[in-house]
Amino acid sequence: MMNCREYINLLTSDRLSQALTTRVEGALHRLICRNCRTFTRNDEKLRAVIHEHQTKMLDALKPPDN
Amino acid sequence: MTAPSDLKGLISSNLRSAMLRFARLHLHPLEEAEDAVQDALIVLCECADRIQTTADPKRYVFGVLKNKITDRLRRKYRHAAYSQGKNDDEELDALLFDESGHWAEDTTPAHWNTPENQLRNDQFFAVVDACINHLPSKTAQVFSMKEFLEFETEEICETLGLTKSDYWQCMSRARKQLQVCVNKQWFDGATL
Repeated sequence: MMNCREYINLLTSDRLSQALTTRVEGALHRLICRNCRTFTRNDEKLRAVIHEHQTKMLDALKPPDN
Repeated sequence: MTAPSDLKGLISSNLRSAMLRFARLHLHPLEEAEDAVQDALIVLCECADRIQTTADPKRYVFGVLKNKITDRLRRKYRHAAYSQGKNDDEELDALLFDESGHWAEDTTPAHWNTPENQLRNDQFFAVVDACINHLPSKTAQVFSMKEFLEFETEEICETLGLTKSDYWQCMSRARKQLQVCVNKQWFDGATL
């Protein structure tokens, strides 16, 4: 059974969904571990905020019209 | 788009500031970021006509800037040994987890009650940005290249001379430390 450290390290290096067995083990771990569920939700929020900010920065790269 | 000869106009435009914001995430000191932006602006002036006909001018500008940043990163890291040891990540893990691999009592993740849309503001991002700047330099570099410059894993490893294992370690360290830092700086260090 996967422990919290293993789950978090796989999640944060984007390796959780690489193999079916890891994906299933990860889902099972999330089911029983409230702390890892919380970390996962926070991580998703953080990445969404960063992605939105990156999009804003990208939008600002519009060249000026003549 | 500005005429090719109007470099001065382009330099003084908001575009230059927007480009510099990107470059500063990846290049230090400031002068090096400014040089990369200047190189990119020269290319953009030379191909101003092409930009006018491209479907997405801002993506074109992003592509040119990304190339100029990558050139500099490649030169900088080509001969540099990967300096961040595995110990750095292990030290962070030792703080977060106990010996059996479960969350240590005083570092359990806090539940961020704030809805996602309320976190999408410049003040919150300023905290995130400051936390990114507090990451070890190589970790911050890898994270920024992935999340802001949209590099693929293989491109990051090739540019910075990393193995895949180094890359995974950097990304993992970055995301764990960012959450700890944001929790402390924005959510007042709350725990479950």
